[in-house]
This record gives sequence, structure tokens and C-alpha cells, in this order.
Amino acid sequence: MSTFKTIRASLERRQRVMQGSALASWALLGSLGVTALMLLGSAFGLWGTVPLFAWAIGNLVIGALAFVAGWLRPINTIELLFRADRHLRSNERFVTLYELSLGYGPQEFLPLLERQINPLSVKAAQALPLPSRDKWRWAAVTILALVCVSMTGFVQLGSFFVRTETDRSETASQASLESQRASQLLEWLQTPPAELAQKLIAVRERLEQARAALALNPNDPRARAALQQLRAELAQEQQRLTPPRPPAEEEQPTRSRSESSLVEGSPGEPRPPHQGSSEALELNQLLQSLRRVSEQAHSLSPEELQKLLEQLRETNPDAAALAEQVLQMTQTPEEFRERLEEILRELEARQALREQFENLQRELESTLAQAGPQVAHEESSAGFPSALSSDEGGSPQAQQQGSASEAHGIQSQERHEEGQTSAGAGRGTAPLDPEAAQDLPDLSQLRERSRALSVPGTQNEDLEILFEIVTMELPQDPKGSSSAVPVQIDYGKVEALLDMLEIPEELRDAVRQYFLSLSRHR
Amino acid sequence: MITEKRIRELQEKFHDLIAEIRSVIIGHEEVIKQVLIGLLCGQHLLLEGVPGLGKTLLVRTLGRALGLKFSRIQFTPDLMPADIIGTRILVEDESGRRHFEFARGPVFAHLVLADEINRATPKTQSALLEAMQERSITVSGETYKLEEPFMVLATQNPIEMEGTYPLPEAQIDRFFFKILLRPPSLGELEEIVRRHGGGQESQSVRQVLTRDELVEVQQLVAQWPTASPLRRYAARLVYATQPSSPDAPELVKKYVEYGASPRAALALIWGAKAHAFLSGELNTRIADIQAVFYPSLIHRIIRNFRGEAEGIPVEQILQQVYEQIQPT
Repeated sequence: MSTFKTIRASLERRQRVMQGSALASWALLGSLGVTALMLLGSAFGLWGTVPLFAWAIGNLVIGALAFVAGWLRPINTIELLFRADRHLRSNERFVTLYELSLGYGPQEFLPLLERQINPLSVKAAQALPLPSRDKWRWAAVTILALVCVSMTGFVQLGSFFVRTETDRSETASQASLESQRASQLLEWLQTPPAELAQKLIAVRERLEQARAALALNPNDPRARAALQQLRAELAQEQQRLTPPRPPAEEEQPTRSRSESSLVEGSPGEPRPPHQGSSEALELNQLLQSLRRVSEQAHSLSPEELQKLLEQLRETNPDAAALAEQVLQMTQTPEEFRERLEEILRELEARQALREQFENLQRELESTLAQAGPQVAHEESSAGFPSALSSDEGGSPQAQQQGSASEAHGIQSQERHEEGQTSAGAGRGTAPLDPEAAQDLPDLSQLRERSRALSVPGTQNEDLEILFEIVTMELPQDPKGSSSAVPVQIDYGKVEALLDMLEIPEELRDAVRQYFLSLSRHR
Repeated sequence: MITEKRIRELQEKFHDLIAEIRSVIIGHEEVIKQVLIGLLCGQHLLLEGVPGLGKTLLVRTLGRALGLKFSRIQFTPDLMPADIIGTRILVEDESGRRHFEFARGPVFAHLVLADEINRATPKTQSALLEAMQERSITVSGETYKLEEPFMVLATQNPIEMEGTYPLPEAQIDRFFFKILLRPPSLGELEEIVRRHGGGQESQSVRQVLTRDELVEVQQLVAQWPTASPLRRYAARLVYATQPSSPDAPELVKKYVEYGASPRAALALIWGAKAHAFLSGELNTRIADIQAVFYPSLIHRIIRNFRGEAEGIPVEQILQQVYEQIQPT
């Protein structure tokens, strides 16, 4: 191969590389621009995430194809050699030689000119340097590629355009709360149900004993006290069978929590008969939600499972937190489902126990209700209405209860004389000194108000039941002395009862005020 | 077949020729080169300069160095065509018979110096220009071929235009180059005074090239290798002098009535070939075209009224063309 041909081949190769490079840079500029727009759309949530691998490979393929297309484009050799001549300042020898080699012009000059060329002095890169516009284009391509890479990172981290710093911190705190809640629930589930079952058996035995005692003597104070004690214990045990309140909601009133729990329930689902309280409903919902997750877990991909948990977070945060915690603790879907089944078994055991406790409580309430008239009589004789009678001409309770109270007045008087502690004394009315009793709200007025209100769907007996239940919870004065006894009122129970008995809103404040005024006289 | 050695020999001889002329002519290096280019191309030149710049001396020296027949015609208003081309005169032979015989004029020479051509009447000027173009003379139906090489070097005095007959544009276009002679520099002037201050005739000039060799070089230059991008460049340069050309610079569009003719493009390429030969190259270069750009085009640009009224020099217009049109 002659010297000139070697140089020419080298220059043509260089030209093809440059053509390929120029076309590739244009193609990449366009494709990376489109990629950037797609990533931007992805960041704004217009469509799904564009993975780095996909767009990088896509752009590389486009660039490679464009390079090949540029390489294969025809070359104007005369223009190419003339350009090389200009850059190398070779006095237009290359282009003249080329034309001579094609047969144009005096052929005798061909060898003469060829001898003047030194192949070593010809550098293709120097003869055909990359144009500055191509350099700028490649710089733009590089910048665009870096932008795309960084955007991909941001998008995959989670829609940085949408989420602000505050959002992120809120998400983090929410995640922390969820984690705490899940830990709390798991801790609660660690209490062995067997222990609770034993407790149930023990309570039932004590209830039977008290029943037997009452059967022999309906006024047996010990039996009644035992029943009161059992009731308190039952309530306590039932609390243990209820999912604990989340830390953030502990300060919130019971009412709002109960409302939120009710809202969480599926509107189409019938309310099971055993769920008499919001806690029972909550436990049932937790159970159902987790069961749904457990049933679907095996057929869902990790992404779909995450989506399901997201949906669950909206309807039942406790179930979502628990499932999320279990998901983090387990490695495989099978392990996840197995662990979830364990939790479900624990929850079902608690639900069964709770039902039994509720049945027991009903029995206890029934037993107490059967002994109620005597108790009411005792209360009327020893309670605070007696204290108020000096001013108002009689106890309001006694007035409401009518002749039934009067019939039992002798028995109450006897008990008072015997110095025995009565339930009525425990209401905090009888032991109050006369001055304090004068400041107490008029309970008779409250009762009258409740009757006169006649709220549709409201039973006036409810208020009576409320007073009965709450006052029965008050500690008894063991000595039955007339000195002031500290009144202890469980306000949480008052609120629960207000909810449970469906006391109308208009009366609730009055009832609360009543019990608050009791506490002020302690 | 021409060899590189022969080419180098001829190039060397021309270097000697230049040196010989420069031994007589002080300065005017570019002018000497351009005159030799005109000679190599066998074309006619128009020299413009004030009297006393050595125009006649240059042509005479060139004639001597080449061993060519040289004649000088001083153009005046009363100069007749017959004074240039010759006339038929009545002669008597040995037998006493009389007949007309053509007495050749000064145009029958290898190198003709037409001094102050613009002082002659157009009729006389056209007689010379016709001879230049046709390289033959026709008198009374009889044609006389002018001997090669034939070259006319006409001179013009840019001053004292009173009573002159400026050459028509069509006639000026026939000149290959218009060479402007500048006044010598101080150093050159001192050298002129030193050499010729004694009132002596110019020193003897050695013949360095034969007539045949000159013709050989002329034929060689005519086929000097020139690549197509160079021809395109020359064409673009000439085309840009046309006011209607899209590539025409602002000055051309504004001040030019008529741009350069196709003869200008030919002069560019042909002159570039000769320039490449004189430069010792084996092919024509962009630099060669650029070297002959001004002398090839300067007399072929016809300014419009505005250009003439505002006194825009043609050199300035050409400068813009030169800068704007780049070889591609």
C-alpha cells in the first residue's frame, strides 16, 4: 500500500469515527432529554419509577446505533482531504494527490507529490480534530447523563419533588410511632392466655360461692362485697384481654377513641353479638384485618404486600403496624405467614377468653341485680340523701324510689345502728358533713331533668343504672362512722358507662359535674 | 514525460531570472514576481504607476534576461494604429519594379511596452488590444501571426488624466493582471541613487533563460496540478464580487456596479499555478490563489456611482471579499 493510501485510510477512519461520534452525541442528547423528562414525570408521580438500568441500557443502545449509522455514512474524500490539508498546513498536497490518483491532471506529478509526503508526520487526530461544537455537545450529553443519574437516585429515594422535609420527618415519626405500637401489641400478646384462663376459673368459683351465700342470705354483706370485688377484678382482667391503647392516644378521651374504633369497622359487616364494648370490637377488627393479610400473603408479591399494608394502615393502623413489624422480623413470606398465624391464634384465644369473661360479668351483674332492691334500701337509709333530707325535706333518691325505699327503711336504719358498712355509705354521701352536703348538686333535679328530656331512643332507666353502678364502685366505710370519708371515683368508668348506657349528650355534662362535685368535697 | 529534476531545473532558472532582474530593479519584488507570472501564463499586464518608477527598465531587463525581442511604444494622442501594427509601404525591388510591402510595427516583438496607453486614442488602443487578443495582425486582408511568446506590458499614469482616453472596461478586462507600482521606500531610493547616480546606463543583464525554455515552462505551468477545492475557492472569490451574489460582502453590494468577469477566475487559477511554480511547489495551493487575488481582480471591479463618489477604493472592497470568503 502506498504512503498516500495509508494516510488516506487513516484519515477516512478518523472521519468515520467523528461522524459516528457526532450522530451519537445528537441521538444521546435527544434520548437523554426524553429520559430526563420521564424521570421528572416519575418524580411528580405521573407514571412509575424509571429504573437506572433500563434507561442507561436504552440510551447506550441508541448511542451505539447512532454511532454505527454515522460510521456508515458516505464520506466526501475530497472535502475530507482538503480539510486535513488545511489543518496540517500541507499545501493542499493530499487533495491534489487524491485527484491525481483518480486520473485528473498530469499523472507525472503523482509520484513527485507522493514523495513529498512523510507518513509519520501525519497524525489523524491533528489532521481532523474534533470540532468544538461536537465537544460542547458531548459536554451537554455528559451533564444530561449525570442529571439523569442523580434524578434516578432521588426518585428512587422517594419522590423528592413531592415530599418536603417536613413530610419526611412526619413520615419518620409516624413510622416510629407505628413501630412502638407494634412492639406494644406484641408485648401484650406475650401474656399467656393460660394464666387468664385459670383466673377465669377462679373467678367463676368465687362467683358460685357468692351466689350460694346470697341464696342462703340475700342480705349477706360479705357475699355482696365479694361480688363487688369480683366485678372489679373482672373489669381488670377484661382490660388485660383488650389491646392496649396506643401511646399517642392515651391522653385522648375514651369517647373519641371509641368513636374512631367504630369508624374503623366495615360498614357492611354485622356487629357480632359478643362485642358489647368498643374494645371488643377493636379486638375483633384487629383479628379480621390480620387474618385477611395472612390469607393474602402467600399470593402477593412483596410490592403488592406493601400496597396491602398501606391500605390497611388507612383502615386499621394497629393491624398494619403489627403486620409491618412481623414482616420486618421475618425473612420469607412463609415465615411471615407462620408468625402471623401465631399472632392470630393468640388473638383468637384472647377473644374467646374475653367472651367468657363477659358472660361471667353478665352473670355477676344479674346476681347483683337480683340483690338490688335490698341494696337500694340500704343506700337510701345510709346514703347522702339522708343527709340532705334535713334541708330539703327528704332524700331525692327516696322520693324517686317511692314506697320500695320506705319499705326497706327499717332495715337500713338497723344496719346503720349496727355500725355496719353499707354500699350507700360508700357513695360518699352519708359520711359527708352537713356543710359539704349542702354544696352537693341536687341529684333529684338531675333525675327529673333526665325524665323531662325524653330524648328519642333514650331510656331514662339508663341514668338510674349509671348511678347504681357508679355508686356501687365507691369504697365502703368499714366503720360506718359519720365522719367524712374520702370519696374515690373512677372517672374513666363513669365515662365508659356514659357511653355504654347511651346517656344523651345534654345530660352527660350534668352527670360529670355531679361526680366532680363529689370529689371536691373530699 | 516531465521529471522532478527538470521541474526543479526550470524553477531554479526562474530563481536566477528573478535574481538577475533584482540586480537591476531596486525593490518591486512583488511587481517582478507578478510580471513573471504574467510571462509564465503568456498573458498581458497593465502596470499602473507614476513616471520614473522603473517600468520601462523592468520590461527591458526582462527582455534581455530572457533573450527576447523587446519594443517600446510611447502612446500619444496622435499615435495611429499603423504606428503600432505597421503599414504597407511602396518599395522598389532590384529589377525596378515597385510593390507594397508590409513594414512590421513595434507590436511585432516578444515583449511590448505600451507606455502610457491611455494617452492614445481609442482607435489606436483597440488596434493594440486586438493584437493582444488575437496574437495576430491583419492588414489589407493579410494576417500576420505574432511570434510567441508575445506579451504586452501597458502602463498607465494615474495622474495627469487631462487629455487622456481611459481604457474602456471591456478592454481593461483583457489584461491578465493590473500591477500597481508603489513609490520606492527610503532605503530603496538610496540604493537607486547609489547604483544609478552616475548617469550611467543600467548594468548589463545576463540571459538566464532561452525562449524555448520559457515556452516549455509556459506549457508546464498550464497543466500544473490544481485540486478542485482550489478551483472552487477561486470561483467563489470571483463570484463574491458580484453584487447579486448571496456571498457578496456588504461593500460589494453597496459600491460595486459590476463584479469580476470569468476571466478573473481564469486569471486567479492560472496565476496561482504560475505562482506555485515560482514558489518551488509541485502543486497549486490556497496561498498561491491568495497571492494573485489582488492583481487579478483589482481592474475588473467596476464601482457604481456611489462608490466612485464616496471614493471607496477597490482594494478595500476586495479586502472584504478576501476576508469573508474562506476556502472550504
